[in-house]
Amino acid sequence: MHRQKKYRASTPGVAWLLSELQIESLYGREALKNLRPAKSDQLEQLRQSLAELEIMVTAARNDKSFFDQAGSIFKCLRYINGSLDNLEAGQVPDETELLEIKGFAMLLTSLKNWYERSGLQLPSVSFSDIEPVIKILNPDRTVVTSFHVHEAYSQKLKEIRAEKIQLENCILQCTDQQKRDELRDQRARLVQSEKAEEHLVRENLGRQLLEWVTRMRHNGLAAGRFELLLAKTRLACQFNCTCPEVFAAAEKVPLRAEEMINPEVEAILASRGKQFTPVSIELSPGTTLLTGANMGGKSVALLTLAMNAELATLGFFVFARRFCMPLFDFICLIAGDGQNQASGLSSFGAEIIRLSELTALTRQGIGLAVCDEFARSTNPSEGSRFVQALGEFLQQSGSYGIIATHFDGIRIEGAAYYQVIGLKDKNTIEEHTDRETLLQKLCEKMDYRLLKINDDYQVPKDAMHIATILGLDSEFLAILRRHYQS
Amino acid sequence: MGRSLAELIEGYSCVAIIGMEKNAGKTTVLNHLLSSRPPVVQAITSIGYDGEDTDQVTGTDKPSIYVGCGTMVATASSLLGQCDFTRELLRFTGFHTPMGEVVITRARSDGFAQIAGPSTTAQMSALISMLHELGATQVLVDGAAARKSTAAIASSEACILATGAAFSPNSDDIVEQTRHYTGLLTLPEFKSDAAFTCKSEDANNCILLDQDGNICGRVSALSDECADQIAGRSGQPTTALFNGAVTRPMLQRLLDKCRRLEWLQLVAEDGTRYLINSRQKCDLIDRGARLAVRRQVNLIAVTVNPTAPSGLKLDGAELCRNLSEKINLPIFDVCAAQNQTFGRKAPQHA
Repeated sequence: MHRQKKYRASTPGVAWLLSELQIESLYGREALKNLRPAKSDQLEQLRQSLAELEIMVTAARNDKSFFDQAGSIFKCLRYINGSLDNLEAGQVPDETELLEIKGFAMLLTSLKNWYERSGLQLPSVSFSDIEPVIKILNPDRTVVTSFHVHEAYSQKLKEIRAEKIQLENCILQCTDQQKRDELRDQRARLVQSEKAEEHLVRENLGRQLLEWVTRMRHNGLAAGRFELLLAKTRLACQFNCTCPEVFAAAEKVPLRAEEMINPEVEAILASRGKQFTPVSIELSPGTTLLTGANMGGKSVALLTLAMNAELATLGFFVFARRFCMPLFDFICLIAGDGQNQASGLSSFGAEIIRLSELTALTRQGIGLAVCDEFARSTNPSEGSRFVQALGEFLQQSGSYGIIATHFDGIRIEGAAYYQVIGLKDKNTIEEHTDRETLLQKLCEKMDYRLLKINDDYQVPKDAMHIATILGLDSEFLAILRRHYQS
Repeated sequence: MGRSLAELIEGYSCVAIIGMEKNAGKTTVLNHLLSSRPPVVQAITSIGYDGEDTDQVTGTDKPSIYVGCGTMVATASSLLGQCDFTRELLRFTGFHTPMGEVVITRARSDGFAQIAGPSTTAQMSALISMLHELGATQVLVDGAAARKSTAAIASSEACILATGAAFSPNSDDIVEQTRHYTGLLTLPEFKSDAAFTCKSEDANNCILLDQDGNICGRVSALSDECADQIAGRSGQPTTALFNGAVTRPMLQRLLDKCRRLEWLQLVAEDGTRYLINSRQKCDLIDRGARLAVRRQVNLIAVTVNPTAPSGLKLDGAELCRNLSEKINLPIFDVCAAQNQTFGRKAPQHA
């Protein structure tokens, strides 16, 4: 079977969510592996899969037992493509393969029946009728989950087995060792005939099953797609996600994100008894610059934005109150310390490699470029020129770019500016001893929301203030203050 | 003599048969139990692979396991073709062995079985639960030779130890070693919350506890340092908890270092983890050390196979007599009971 490589998420948030998805069957995992972001020419398909997810989410919100019912079969659903391959190759199926196929047919039939009753009617999920497979493998009227080469398949088999049981009874009652050995030899010959006849029966069953192989494969794929959809639904319901509104990139609509949440960071905060401050931002085609105090949540805001945009292209609901965006051809994140000594790259080197990828991508389509403190690890005088150039490049590229920076004096014609609101009541400094309390105080004083400002922006000079709140050594601070004054 | 072996295991939902050595007669015991017609649904599985016609180590003929109609057999899928009972495949288990996935079947006739089951404790316990769910009242587990039977012991309610001439041609030696081994299996149980919390630690770790049950040391049980650290606690009440094996070289080093050991308690997961000879055990006890286990084995009987694969045959009755003088457990001669093998129990499914 043609296998393609697993999808590599562009953002750490999506990588985390994909790894957390509850998918149990190999069919579901295969569907996840084949997951790909929609390209700008696949807007209709993306809208359709989001509409399907909407139907699922509505159904799940209306029925508490939805997940139990819809997901009931996946834990025990075995991947039978190996057995189907063998059937198609003309091999006589063995007992375990027949048990596997029977189990599959029973589970898929029950899923199909539930699905039809549920009235979901999703265009991408349909199941073929494979109930006759169960009948082939269960000649009795009562349907059981087990399988055996039934006497009903062959009169000859029935006779051999009856004779074998008789012989076994004789062996039991026989006290003469020699006579007993003779009976055992007879039994061994009967066992051979039984096996030969069973082989014929299995051969015949294999022939009958052959015409159902395509339908069984189809059902396997549909089950995988459905399980992935179910996992997306579970995620949407668990986090109260919303359906993103997606537009054609050519329409040049702004990316509008209202009250976004980052579930991974939110979970970490919740474990410390803190809350995540939702962030909102609007990006027009071109460049948006974001500044703000250290520890003001710029990186989290950028990662959250990139994660949600990527989720939308993958057909997931997003972590925001409202999220409208053009369907991007690419989402490129340049963030974090990409230093990799093994590959001989410094942080700056890694950024430049990534930048080259970005410039190539912008020539192929319209995308979202998210750059967190670009060129931060080189000297500030060159670094700010790199940021200026990146801003200008993105501004004229037609793509949507956002750059978080601490560099002063970046001026880009037509760019938008955002700032983390930052520290409240800067003048009150309280004495705290332990680091945990200091950090707690800092978080309380920080307003993580983003504010759109006019273009004569000032990079906030809060570094010393934050260092003071964090309890930096007073002697060190005295020296630092001297330098601020000069 | 009192009750038969089959009567002894009545009421236990899972019984493991472990051997002192290969060819100690485990299969003969299993066949005897399978043919004893108990009014219950029996199931059988094995730790790893057993049941081959010829012993793969000694090259000698071995008895095969013979199951009766209605018995459940959990075995690896690639061995099904070598089983000759008519069968119904009940379910897959999801436990994979080198011979394929373990499948649960039900015999619809008598016949010979080739059995390979899972080899880890967790999988064996889960398999036993599956067999019970499918209706088996009593599961028999064919354990491996002594040292490899931890999984069988850990998952079972009761245990039968098979010993015999395969172990040694010398009757006294058999008696002495069997006595030593039953002694290890039935060491007293160590009960403590600390033991529970340390359980998930790395294998082969040794954790030292002081008299209040606080951890005061942690060392690899396979390094020389282990004996040195334990000896360093000399005179202070100490419990040494072992997650893996308690080895002979480690204990010898300890014995060489400490003349008195009344301050020391050694605790292993179960008796099979004490890889020590009877002289060492005597030395330890003479110097005051206490030996314990986290899980005591419910050893209910010892069986004796007086015939060795080499053809050597000892006097079974005498061997049983000598064993019962040293071991306070019912002793059975499997050859004397063999006239019942290949028997068949009453049909289970009407």
